[in-house]
Amino acid sequence: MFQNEPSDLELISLILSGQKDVYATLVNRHKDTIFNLVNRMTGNLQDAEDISQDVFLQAYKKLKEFKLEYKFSNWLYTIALNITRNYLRKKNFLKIIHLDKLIETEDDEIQLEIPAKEETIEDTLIKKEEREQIYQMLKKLPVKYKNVMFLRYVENLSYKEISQITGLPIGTVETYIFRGHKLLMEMVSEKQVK
Amino acid sequence: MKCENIILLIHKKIEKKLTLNEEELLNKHLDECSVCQERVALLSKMELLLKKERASAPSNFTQKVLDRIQDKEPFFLSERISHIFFPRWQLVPVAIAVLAILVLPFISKRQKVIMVRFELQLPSAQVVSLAGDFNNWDTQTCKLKRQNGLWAVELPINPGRYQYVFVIDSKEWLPDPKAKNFIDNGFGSKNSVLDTTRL
Repeated sequence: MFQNEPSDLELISLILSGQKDVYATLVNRHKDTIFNLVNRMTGNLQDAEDISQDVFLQAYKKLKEFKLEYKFSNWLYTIALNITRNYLRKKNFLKIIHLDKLIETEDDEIQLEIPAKEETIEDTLIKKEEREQIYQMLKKLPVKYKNVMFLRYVENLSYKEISQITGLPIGTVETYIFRGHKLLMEMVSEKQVK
Repeated sequence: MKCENIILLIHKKIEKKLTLNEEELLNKHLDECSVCQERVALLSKMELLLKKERASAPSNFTQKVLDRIQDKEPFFLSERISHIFFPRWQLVPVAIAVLAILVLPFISKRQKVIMVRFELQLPSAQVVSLAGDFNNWDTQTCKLKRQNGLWAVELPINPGRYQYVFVIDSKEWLPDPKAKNFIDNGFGSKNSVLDTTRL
């Protein structure tokens, strides 16, 4: 039917016209991107798998609401961010209850674990210790800064796209990235002092 | 220049927004400041790590998503296949066909027309239409609409006795098993019978 690979929009219109099994193609096309991003945000492969499945399930259910002028992958990112945020809040809340001690958490302040297992950069420009150190530093950043930074660096998105995905003004996106950078850089001086 | 002012320049460097002048200032500072050198290295490595270290979804991921969709919508994938291979006699047990005759007294009693709602529970169908005496057995015009796997249409029917069938995907003729009466159609199968005078 299509001379080249069908676009996301073409696939979506087929699905909406009744060819629901075409959805498998859409999932295949975007699963790694969403899984990778969610893995970054949760730092846990199992959580990433569960959440990513939820993302595609919800996208399927809400496909009729998808606006054609939007980019499908960006729409998925928005769903992924929302589901991950809720998931982490719930998880953190349960952790607090479980430990029976009140950890002071500011809205989005949820701990990020180091990704458990994934492909590593083959040319070892970054040593293992350095890699872990960087993840430890990222872990300390507020989630709202981290999420924006992940969209920026993991997915290589523009400020405008991040703004559309997160609903934040473009200026705020840039500020969050700057603040994230600044916090990371300040950790370097702390390390030096020690 | 103080380190706290350089932090903005390092941010700009990572974001590739440095002007030539700023780049010169930054480089000059970096020559003298090992802490800021380390900061640049940290952010560059972080960017590289996030970009290059990527996890892939498990190999059975798509199937799991489809299974979960199917749980919620049981005939998601099977529907396009089943209607091709199922012989008509197998369609019958699959279909829980309900002729719910909602005898809504039509607004105008003078016309004595009643609204009849035809329903068919057959999520595996792609297209379902209704053919019978009341529409000259036209298999194309009277299409049922699908809502959550249930096909339905409401038709104004003049009083009388009618034979009818559901037409599945323009090829399979399916009598309504829940109809009160059936009659041989002369082709080896049966038609359902609707008698609105007895309702």
